[in-house]
Formats: sequence, structure tokens, C-alpha cells
Amino acid sequence: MTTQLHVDHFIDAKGMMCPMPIITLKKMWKDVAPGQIVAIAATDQGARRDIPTWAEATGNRLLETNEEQGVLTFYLQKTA
Amino acid sequence: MKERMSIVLFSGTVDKLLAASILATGAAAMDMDVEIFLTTWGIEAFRKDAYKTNTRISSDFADYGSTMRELMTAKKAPTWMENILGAREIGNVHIAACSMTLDLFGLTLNDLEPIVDEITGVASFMERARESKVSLFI
Amino acid sequence: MTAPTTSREHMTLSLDMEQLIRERVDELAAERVTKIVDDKIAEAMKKDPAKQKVAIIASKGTLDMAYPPLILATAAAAMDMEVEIFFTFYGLDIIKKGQADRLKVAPIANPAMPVPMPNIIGMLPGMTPLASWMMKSLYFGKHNVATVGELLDQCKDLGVKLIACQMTMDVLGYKREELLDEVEVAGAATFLAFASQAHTTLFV
Repeated sequence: MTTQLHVDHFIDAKGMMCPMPIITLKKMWKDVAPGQIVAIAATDQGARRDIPTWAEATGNRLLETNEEQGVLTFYLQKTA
Repeated sequence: MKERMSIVLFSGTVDKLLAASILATGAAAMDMDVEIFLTTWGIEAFRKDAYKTNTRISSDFADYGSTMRELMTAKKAPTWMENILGAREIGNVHIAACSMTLDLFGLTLNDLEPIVDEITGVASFMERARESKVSLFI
Repeated sequence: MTAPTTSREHMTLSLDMEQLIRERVDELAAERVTKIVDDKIAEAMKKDPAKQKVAIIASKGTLDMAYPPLILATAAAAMDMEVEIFFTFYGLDIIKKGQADRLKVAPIANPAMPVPMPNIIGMLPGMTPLASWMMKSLYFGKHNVATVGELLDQCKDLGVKLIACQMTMDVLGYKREELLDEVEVAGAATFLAFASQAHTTLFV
């Protein structure tokens, strides 16, 4: 599945283990403008649930999730 | 919304597993949801068939180990695995395995007992814990 | 109702109708009220400040036991929660300057660790460094797991409050300057004041 989304920031969290993907996400979030889209690629299996949970807990929107060859990519929009 | 108890199950020794399993049974009987997050030695305890041969007890009390086992057999006390299976029968018991530990130990979900529901990270656990009446680290 | 009815029959019918309507209205009202109350509770729960707080006590100073409080704390902080870790007894070792990456796995007095060999070996001198080396290289060394020192840095960046227990510092003879600069020294009451407002309190 290819996405048509315009990505403003990309985080390569491949190889990072829990809880580093969400910590990296949280720390860069302050540099994201409202409405912008961030893509984060992760290989940690925990991210499958953690990133959607993070988005919900922080009031941001998860637009799309892709999985290709063991790499999970999440597209998040800053709404909070 | 049902009340919930969340447990981080970090230990892999039978005495601690027994404590966690009895609490899970009690909570399920009280109509509470139970969330168990397995990590580190707790993952080790839930490896396939490991519970059949795991006789480890907390090293501080290692000298009581064999006596405890004999007593439990004599009194036909249910094992910790029987308790967990029982809790699952009467209530909503959700068991998640820590992705980081699985990665460290080179394991996948298939290497664990079928009672383990899924792999998650710590954020998913925190989200459930924050809505819990009781949170424990065992 | 096309058939003509006598007024007497009509009366009975309307009484029955009224009874039915009353029962049905009660039923609907109960359903509706329950729904409204449930929604209000769920809404209040969402705003409940206690849901935004996590209090953790770190009481052990072994390598494997240093991870859980720091990982739980950083994950919670990343989810916008307010977090405090209270370091007491051997947990103080985690926040000692230059100590973070020198913590050891000790099979003795570490009730959580299943000892992979006859327990007596744990008592031999040299066992503790060996077990630490095993765990560091086998479990943490080759992987991308953050080190204890890195997780402490993340705590600082994410605003996790680190509190050293004043009483145990006195008992164990720790000086303020031996602990990390970002640590705050306080008593149990300070921590409890925070913990009493937190839904999640964990003792590690």
C-alpha cells in the first residue's frame, strides 16, 4: 500500500527498542507545527500497539499504518 | 466500565508467580478486569512448557524451596498456571508480553504459552494502568 | 380501534394503556439515565487528574531492577503523564554520579532473578561481576536497548522528577553531591503527597 500523504517529518526508529520509539516521538513533537504530518518507521513489535495508544493518549491523530517487510510505518498528524 | 487491576509481572520464580496468579484469580472473581504485563523473568516463566519444570523460588528463600513444593503437592494446592487458567475462565484476563524482552531473549509470541494474548510495549501497559484501581509490580 | 366500544370497555382499555405506557416510560427513563450517568462518569474519568500521575518507588539497585522504574517512567512521561520516582535504599545507587552504567546483577538478595545455576555459586566471590557481565553482554550489550544512564538522561529531558529519600541517604551515608544534580532530596511525606493523587503507584 502506498500512501498519498504529504509527510513533513520522518523519524527512523528502526532498530530502536521499547520505549525509545515513543520517547523519540514525544521529544520531536514540540518541533512539529499543528496540522503537520509525521511518519515514524519502527521495527519494535511493541510499537504496533504503543504508537496508536500514544496518539490517543496525547490527543493526536493516527492517519494510517503500513507494514512492509517487518517495518511498521505510522502516519500521525499533530492535532494537540 | 469495570474496575481493573494491572500487574507488571517481572519475576520468574514460583513464589512470586503464585502470588500474582492468586491475585489475578481473586480480582477475576470480584468481577474486575485483569491486565498482566510480562517482562524480563516473567517472560521466561511463560515460555512454552517452562511452567512444567520451573521449580525456582526467590533466592532469599531458596532453602525453603523443596519444603514448599512438597507441601503444595501434599495439600493439592493449584499451581500458578492452574490459577491463571482458572482466572481466565471466570473473568477477563488479558496477558501481554514485553516486546523489548522478547527481542533480547530472541523469542516470538509462538515461543510463549498460548495464554499470552499479544506483544505490546510499555506505553500500552501504562495506558491500561492509569485506568486501574489497583496497580502492582511483582 | 375502529370497533365501537362501550365507555366501560373504553375505560378499562385506557387504564391498561396507561399502565403499559407508564411501564415503558420507566424502562426507557432508566435506560437513558444509566447511559447519561455512564457517559458522565467516563467523561469525568477522562479529566481525572489522578489519571495523569504516576508514582514509582525504586528500592533496588541491581542492573535488572534499575530498568523497570526508568522504562515505566519515561514511557509515562512520553504519554504526557506527570511522573515522580522516589529512590530509596539500594535504589539510591541508580542515581549515584557515575554509577548508572556500573550497576550489577546480583543473584543473592535479588528475589526476582531466577538463578540459572545452583544457588551456592551465587555466594562465591566473583559471581556478581560474572552475572552482570552475562546479562550485560547477553541481554543488553548487543542490542539497541537504552542503557541506565541514557534512560536517566531521558528522564531529565522529559521532566520526570527524581527524588532521593532523605532518610535512607542518612542511613547509608550518601552525600548530596554524590547524587546526580537533577535529583531532588526529600522525605517520604513529599512523595506520599504526590502518590496520594496518582492512580498508578508502583513499588519496584
